[in-house]
Order: sequence, then structure tokens, then C-alpha cells
Amino acid sequence: MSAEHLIAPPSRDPAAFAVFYQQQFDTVLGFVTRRTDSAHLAADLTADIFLTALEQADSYDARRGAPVAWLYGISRNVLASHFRGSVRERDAVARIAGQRLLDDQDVSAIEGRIDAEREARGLAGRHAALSEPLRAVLDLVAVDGLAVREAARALGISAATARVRLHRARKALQKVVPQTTTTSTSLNVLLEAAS
Amino acid sequence: MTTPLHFQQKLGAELAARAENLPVAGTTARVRPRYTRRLVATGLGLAAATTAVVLMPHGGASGVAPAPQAGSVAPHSAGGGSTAVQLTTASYTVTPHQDGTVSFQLIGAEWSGLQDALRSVGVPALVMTPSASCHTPVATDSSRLESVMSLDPANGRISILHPAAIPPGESLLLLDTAPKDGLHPNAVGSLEISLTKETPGCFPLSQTNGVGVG
Repeated sequence: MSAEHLIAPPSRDPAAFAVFYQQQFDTVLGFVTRRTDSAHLAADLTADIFLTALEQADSYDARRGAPVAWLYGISRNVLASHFRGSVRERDAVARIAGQRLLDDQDVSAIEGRIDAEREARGLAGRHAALSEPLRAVLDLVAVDGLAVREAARALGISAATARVRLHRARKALQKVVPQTTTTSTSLNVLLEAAS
Repeated sequence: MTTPLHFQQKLGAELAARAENLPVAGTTARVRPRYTRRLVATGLGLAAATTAVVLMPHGGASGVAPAPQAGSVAPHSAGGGSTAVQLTTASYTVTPHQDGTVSFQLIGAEWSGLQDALRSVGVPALVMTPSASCHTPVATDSSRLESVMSLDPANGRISILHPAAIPPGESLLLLDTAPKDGLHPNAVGSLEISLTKETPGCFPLSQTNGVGVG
């Protein structure tokens, strides 16, 4: 993600999308393993996110941000739809059952990622106390490591608005999170980075 | 960080197969309506809307800009909305429902007939293309768009119009504001939506918001 000019944009062209997919696979899998502790669900969500990205590739506009910001926006929508229970009803036949593509080594590899992301999931869990607008931008910055501008673009808001929300989120969390634990120290480090 | 290589390969192959079978962009591809920054900021509540914007692929391999109606208002009376009617073209789908609402999905950029389609199911619509040579301001109002338009909770690609919420004498104004000189003039179009009490002969390009850089 460090050299944005080398990042392939999403495209409906099969060859171009294959490049995009290979470049963004770790990004998407990381996004979902920071939010679920099920390897099978992570596989389903990863498949859903990439399929949605393929279907909506023509909606990508380079003027509105880097491909990764666009992809994070799609990822958030797919997860939100999933947790609302609507994604399976919608286009149920068209979706890819990602978990059917897993073998035992895949499950182990994803579970390894899930274990490694435990602290990030805990961080995201603590954000649940925040309102959705604050939580959304804080998750993308503090949990997923996006720059504020990228997070803003993923959410369709201005960078200034994102910074204001981060500031408010930080203030709100400082009131509810104990300051003495190792975890809260980590939280504060992340929040400082986000501010 | 370990990578599930088998899964990555299998999913990549599955996606490649799906990509091969995708319909040509701008003909039958589905797209998700988006809303302006202010709309997104309100969680799709549309409360703070000035305009609603829908992005969708532009149709036509030639990349020629769409040619929706240029301001003329068809003398089509608003009907009661037959529940048996479904008006579908390669570029849009208009579906009336028993409760008086109308589902509306844009797919491509050829909007000929869209105005009549919407009017035939009870939506007093004006479909226009802004013109640079038009200098007569048009009074528009989006403060009540929240009650007129919402997203289908089961499918965010579909907008739900509420014709009964449109005040008598007002029209739902749909403007083709595709950036003709944009980076992807053939791939992305946009639609601004607002209410108006007027029946303008043209709409000034200078009055549109366009789809700016977020």
C-alpha cells in the first residue's frame, strides 16, 4: 500500500481485475479477520467483498481516492449488510460461498491471522460504545491503519470532518476506557496516531 | 502473516470466471446508488440533502454522452400507478408498488423515455440535461428530499420514490450531471435529484453541483 501509483485500479476486465485481486487480497482478508473470529465467515466475507468490487468496478473514480479507500468503503458496506442479515437474501444465488473454497491449510492460515488480530478486534469492540459516524472513521484509522484522508474517502466525507470525528471519538473513549491497562496504552497510542 | 494460498487461488479463479461472464458495462450491469457527501454523513437519512447523486456506468461503447430529454416536458398525465406495470429498459427499471411507492434503479446512461416512464406510474418527473448556454436560474429545493426518496433497505442499488410526498404542483427534477470531461467520461455518470415548482425550458450547467472530489 505504500506506493499508490503502483496499485491497480478495480476493473471489470478479467485480467485487470485479477491483478487488482492479487494486490488487495491481504488487505481485504485483514479487514475481515479484524472483525470476525470465524475463519469460515472470513472466507465468505472476503469472497463477497471481492465479488461486489468486481460488480461495482465501474463505479470507481480515481478522483475520489485511491483504490484501497474505495475497497474499504465496499468492505464496510458488505460487512454491514451481512450483519443486518440482508446480504444472503440479496442475490443469494449469485454470491460465492467462500468457505467452500477452503482447505484445511487455509483454515489454519486464516485462524492464524484471526489470532494475530485479537487486539485489533478488541479495539474495534470497545468502539462499539461510540455512535456509528465516530466508530466508522475510528475503526478505519485505528483498527485498519488507514490515513485519515483515505478513511474519509472510504466513508465519503471530507478529511476535515474525519479529523473532527476522530477527535470526538478520542475524547469519548478516554471517558470510558481505563487508562491503566496495557491494552488501553495501545489504544491511546493508536488514537494519538489518528489525531 | 500467513496466507491461505489455496483459498486465494480458488477465489481468484472463481472471480475470473465471474468477470468473464459479466454483462457489458453500461448495458445490464447493476450499480449501487450513491449519495452526496452530505447524504452519506447523515447515514442515508437524506435529512441534510441538497441533492441526491447516483453514479452509474455510462452506456454505449462509443462513449457518447447520454441524450436524455433536454427540458421538454411531456404532456403525460400522472396516472394512479398500475401495480401490474414494470417499465424496464437496458438503462433503467421503474417498478410501481401497491403502497404507492415506486422502485427506481438506474443501470445505464440512455435515459430516453425515463421521464414518461416515471410519470406513467405517478411520479411527476422532469428529466433534463444541464446546458452551458442556459442562464435562467431554476429554483430547486432538496430540503424535503428525505420524504420523497429513500434507499431500498434490502438492496441499496434501488431507490424508493414516494410520489405522494411530492407537493402538488412540484416536480421531481432529475439532472444528468455526468462530467463530460472527467477522467472516466465513458464509465461514470451522475444524476442530481431535487424538487422544483417550475417547469423550466432548460437548466443552467452552472447551477449544478457536479460530482466533485471528495
